Amino acid sequence: MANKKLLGLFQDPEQVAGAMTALHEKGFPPEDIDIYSGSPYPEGSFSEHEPETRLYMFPLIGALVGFALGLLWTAGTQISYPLVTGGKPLLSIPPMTIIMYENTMLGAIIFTVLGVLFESRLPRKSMGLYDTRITEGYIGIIVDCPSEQASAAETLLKKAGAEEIKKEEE
Amino acid sequence: MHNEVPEIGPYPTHREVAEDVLGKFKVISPRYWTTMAILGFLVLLGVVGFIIRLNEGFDDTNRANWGYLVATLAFIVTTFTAMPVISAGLRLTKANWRRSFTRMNENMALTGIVVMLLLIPAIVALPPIEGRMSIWFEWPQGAPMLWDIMGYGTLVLIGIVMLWACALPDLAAASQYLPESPRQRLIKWLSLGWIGGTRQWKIMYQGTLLLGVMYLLTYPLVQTLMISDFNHGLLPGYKDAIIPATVVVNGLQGAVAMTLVVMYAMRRFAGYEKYFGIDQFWALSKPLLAFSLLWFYFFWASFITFWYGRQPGESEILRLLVLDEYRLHFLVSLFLNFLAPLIALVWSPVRRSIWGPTIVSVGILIGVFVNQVRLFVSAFSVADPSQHVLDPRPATQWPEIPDLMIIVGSLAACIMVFMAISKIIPVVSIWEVAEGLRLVKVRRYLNRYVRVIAKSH
Repeated sequence: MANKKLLGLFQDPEQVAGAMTALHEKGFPPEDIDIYSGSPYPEGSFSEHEPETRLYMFPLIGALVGFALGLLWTAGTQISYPLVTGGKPLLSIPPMTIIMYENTMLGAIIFTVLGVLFESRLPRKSMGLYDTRITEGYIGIIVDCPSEQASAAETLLKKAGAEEIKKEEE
Repeated sequence: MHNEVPEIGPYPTHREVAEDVLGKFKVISPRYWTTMAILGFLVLLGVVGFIIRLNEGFDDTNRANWGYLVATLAFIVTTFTAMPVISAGLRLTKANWRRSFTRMNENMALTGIVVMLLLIPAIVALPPIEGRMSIWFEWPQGAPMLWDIMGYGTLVLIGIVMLWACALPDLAAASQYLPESPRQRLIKWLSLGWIGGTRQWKIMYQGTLLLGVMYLLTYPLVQTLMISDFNHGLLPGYKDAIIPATVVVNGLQGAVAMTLVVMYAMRRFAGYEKYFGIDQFWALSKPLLAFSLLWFYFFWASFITFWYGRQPGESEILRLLVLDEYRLHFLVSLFLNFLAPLIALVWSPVRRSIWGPTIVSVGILIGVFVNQVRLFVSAFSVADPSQHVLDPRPATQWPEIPDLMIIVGSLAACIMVFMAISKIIPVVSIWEVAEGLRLVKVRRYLNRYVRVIAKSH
């Protein structure tokens, strides 16, 4: 069954909230509806679907990998090539701490970049169904629905006050 | 001064903010090119100064030649490169008034390029770590070069990634606003096809907070490396346990002062009066006063330890840095970093103005530079860092022509980098300002109108 995408453009956030309520009431699944905006609105302002994200795992894993590498690098080299100086302990903790800290932060940042790109689904080759007015303050409601429900969705969006509706066949 | 009171609405819409900011962003005026050309000339002077110094070499007898380059490096780390710390800290605390200048501060992360360029000769000029005090304990392979570059590089990388991640929505807006050109194509490529969906905004929020925390965690490391490798490790007898905290607090003071000065410049020369208003100046003047008080607190805490310790090494360090050779530098710094801000900013009308915090900040920045000269030029003037007691104390070293060229060139390079990036990434964060405007409502309260600011999360 072919799907159709609709983009309803609104100027007034109140109308967007109304349109979302109407779409939910008519049985459009929340995960098939998305909001495009030029600036963020507080979570749940439009009763939109909150996507699950795991961004926090990326820096955590990166930091652990970096720390482990730092530990291996510093303790490993000293243990592999032991040079006892003046009866002092083999492992020189203060400089080891600096190197392990640097590695931890470096690992965390590299994995965070990967996490931001992966979780944001970036980079996108094509903008898809989009309107440049969104970056000027318009709000777009994207509805991804089976073709036969498209006219119902269009009617709801128009009724809620959409200034324009764009369509795209999938 | 009476007209410098907070304005109460009506507030512009998202569209008006976008059109205004992108309109300014789009124009690259002849004045911009003239300024860039002048700055380019100054950078060239700096390169010539550097080549003159390079000709004289890096050996022990010439180490003092590099003192002013290191002081300039420390100044940039304490001011320009510290500015994203303010942005990250205020974003974490959800301060609404910071929205208009966070991007400006994050754009400064790119001055890290200048830091990296200055860092390499600064490290090469250091004596070997064997036989002298050092945070590296004569151990790790490649110390300090490899690990200093890795530490600084991590900070610069975090700053650039934070800038890019926070700017994605505005890069998308700018790429749609500009006409087709190589500049527009670069901006579009950098925006990665951002569309502003729910998932993207959620990740943007989490990502910017995480990156901000990382910048906050890495900045003290870089300042600690700076002061231990380029100051403490070269001054026999200097053992100050709180110096890493001192330099971080001084960095925060420098960052706030630089933020205020750049905001004033953006108002005066780039037409951003609406975004950098009394709210921002007034709010930043309070931490500026607090950091100025802390400047003295940290100095005093170190000073009394040396004063009452009176070990030969400690006495010589005090004489060098405070009482004799660098007394003038110390007094200038004491006045500009503590006394003048205290005397000026304690008055509410001065804090609640645009000119007051700006003038104080200019003084603070001069004080920061003089203080870095006191700390780093003195350290690089020491003939034999492997001694246990500083003997003899080096004489005061005043800048020579190549030093002045390096100082001017390095600072010009930082300004040039900032001006260049401001034509790639809008200097005011459109999405953050627009979000903030939606959270503010003007309401009647008894016999007056007040602003009510909502918390978004």
